[in-house]
Amino acid sequence: MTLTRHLLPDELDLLLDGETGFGVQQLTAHLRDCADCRDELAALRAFVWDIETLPELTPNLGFADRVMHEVHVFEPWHVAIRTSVAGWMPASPALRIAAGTAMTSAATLVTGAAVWGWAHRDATVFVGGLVTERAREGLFASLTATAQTLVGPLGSTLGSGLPLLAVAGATLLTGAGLGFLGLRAVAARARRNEA
Amino acid sequence: MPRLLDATNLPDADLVALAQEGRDEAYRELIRRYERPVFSLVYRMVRDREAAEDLAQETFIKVLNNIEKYSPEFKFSSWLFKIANNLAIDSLRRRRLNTVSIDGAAGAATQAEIEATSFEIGDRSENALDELANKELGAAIEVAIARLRPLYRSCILLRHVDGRSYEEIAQLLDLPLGTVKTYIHRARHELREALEDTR
Repeated sequence: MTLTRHLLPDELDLLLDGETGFGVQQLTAHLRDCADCRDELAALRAFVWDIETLPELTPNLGFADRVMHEVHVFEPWHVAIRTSVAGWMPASPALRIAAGTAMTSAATLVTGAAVWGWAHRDATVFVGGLVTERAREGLFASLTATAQTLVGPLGSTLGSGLPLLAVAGATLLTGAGLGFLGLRAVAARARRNEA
Repeated sequence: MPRLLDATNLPDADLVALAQEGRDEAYRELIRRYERPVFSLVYRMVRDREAAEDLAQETFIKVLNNIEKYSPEFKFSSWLFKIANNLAIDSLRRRRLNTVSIDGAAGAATQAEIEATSFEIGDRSENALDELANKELGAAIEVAIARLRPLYRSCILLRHVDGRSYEEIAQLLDLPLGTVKTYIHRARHELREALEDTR
């Protein structure tokens, strides 16, 4: 059954939006027979077209830079690691293959050594203890020599042992502290220059 | 060094994923892609170039500084337009409180500032500016859209200028679908009435 009246504005809107729900068939059937309603729908379509073709407006030049100045670009740690690793990778495929082979060989060797060490735990513990003892002795000897060089006669007076180690440690800590402060000052100056 | 990125052909979701990885080019491409639509929407909402520029900027800063919170189940552009629209509506509310009128914003000191901010929702006076604007259909539509109430304006701009679906607009404006349809139909009728003489 077709409508015997003209379409209402809301009904024209339904047709304009391409609705297909209940009752729309009746409206389209009316449209086929009514030139006035067809003209009205065409006018509505033209009007919507006018809105849809409004030009896009452009912000002032440098908009993106102003936005980016306020945006904190954050690189997550896993991405930072990935990027660093990618940075170490050689560019040419041949070198990549060579590096891959070298790394695989190294990994195989390390794994083999670990497996062997686990299979011979007693020997590993013995050798490990020996190496640690030697390293400790070597370190102590080198620290004593360093302290004697740095402190000189005072070192001789105090003799070897704890007082000497304490002096060496304090010297080391002071050096590290001064180094840290120096680095911080350099970084602060760099930041100021950047700003 | 990350490889140089040709971001122009990537879909939004991929660009967002790259931005979440801290890729500067992805941020810039998202801005390049949406600066004009966002600025157009905001400008047509507030009708003040300087304010629109600030609001568009604020929109991007908000979105990009929270890019890690973006949920891929929604369209990136919907999220962006939602924030832009909310900021524009808030700005209009504040401006209304500041008694915006044909005399310009309360803070406008110079003649240029008064002219730039002269605008009132629902102002139907036929001034010289309107007469001039009515000579051009596009300008007349702009003026007519500016006279719609803010929510009608948002709906009509999102539907017919940005080409969003009714469902998307409902989600974007946190309104029921039926309400959005009603607003758009009413807005169209108001616009047609306003433009009857110029067509």
